Amino acid sequence: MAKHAQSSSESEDPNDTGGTGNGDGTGSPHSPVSSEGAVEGEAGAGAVVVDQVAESFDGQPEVGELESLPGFDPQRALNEGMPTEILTDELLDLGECVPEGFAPETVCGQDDRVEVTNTTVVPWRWICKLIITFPNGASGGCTGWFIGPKAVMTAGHCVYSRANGGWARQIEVIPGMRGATRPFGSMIGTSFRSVVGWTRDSDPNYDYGCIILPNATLGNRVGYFGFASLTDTSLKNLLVNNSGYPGDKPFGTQWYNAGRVTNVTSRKIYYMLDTYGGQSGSPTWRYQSGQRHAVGIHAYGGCPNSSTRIVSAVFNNMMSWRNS
Amino acid sequence: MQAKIVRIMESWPLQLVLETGSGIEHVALKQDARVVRGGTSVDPGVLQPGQTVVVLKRTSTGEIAELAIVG
Repeated sequence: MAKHAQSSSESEDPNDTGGTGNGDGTGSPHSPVSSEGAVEGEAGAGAVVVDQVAESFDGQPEVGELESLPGFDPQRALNEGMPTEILTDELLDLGECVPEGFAPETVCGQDDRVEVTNTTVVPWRWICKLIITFPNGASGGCTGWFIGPKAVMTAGHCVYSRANGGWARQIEVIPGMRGATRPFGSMIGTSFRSVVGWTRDSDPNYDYGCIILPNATLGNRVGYFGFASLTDTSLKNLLVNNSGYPGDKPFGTQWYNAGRVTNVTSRKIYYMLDTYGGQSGSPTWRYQSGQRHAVGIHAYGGCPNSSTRIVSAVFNNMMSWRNS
Repeated sequence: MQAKIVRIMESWPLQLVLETGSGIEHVALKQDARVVRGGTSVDPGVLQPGQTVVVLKRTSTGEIAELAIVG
């Protein structure tokens, strides 16, 4: 059975931790399953033979007028959300903003994560702190990232946790969170997506999921990542970036790291980027020629750390969720 | 309960896949779980796949409150 069959929080009895996706124990693991019911079709599988790419969106700032207040610099607000990134000194220090060929430190044991202090600009505002409430009452944290106006991508174990009783009860999505500051507010999601390979089989090769928000307000405002299914050739030794909300740093702060892909398998990408608990679900992305495309969803630690690779089946499910 | 860490999922708190004498178990650490090694508290970040651990204490909902690294 194809393991990329979509699985959804609404299609199951909340008390059922077995996770069959459509309630009757059948269904290709690759077939999309919505929370509202049935399997919708195959997501497709197979080796990645050509690169597939979905573009990013920088967001649309709200139209309106600025209040005139002493000490308030309107330039920051005027430039917020515009396609041209504001490059601060802090961003220039980050690996993502230097030409290709830069080789940041990659030793897993040495912590060279850098805090992202301006989370209101692209791409950092696309990345969200997730505060999760699980069925057993436990709460947890992960990282998510917008892939569409209503869709926030994350790890499968952040939306469906076998250890904590199955589908999350709710997840609060906070884009660009910085400490106690929520520059874009937040939204509660209660509708989730994953795949049968994760919810039924707990197969780490299928550890990915998505939060579908009630409306597109937040996603349209902050914008969203592009993503790509790349070939082995494109991925090997690729310089990748990752940013998320680790639990060992002050609550709600976003931390960035970069490094090279050290190994690629049919379903996973491995790297020596420094990560920590709480960064599950964070995007692993390629920044090239001014374009950003996520290539993986960070999920596992252990040095090397790893992402669920965006292969064709994952890409197709993400497109479906993006267009929800 | 003694087990071997199979996988570490980087949610916070961490979720672990453990291999026990009776099979595979999916567990989550409690938010303020204590991880010890040689009697000393260590950061949960030192947990690695392949380590042998002993679950010392659990909550009523099954989360691991105390875990010892023994190998």
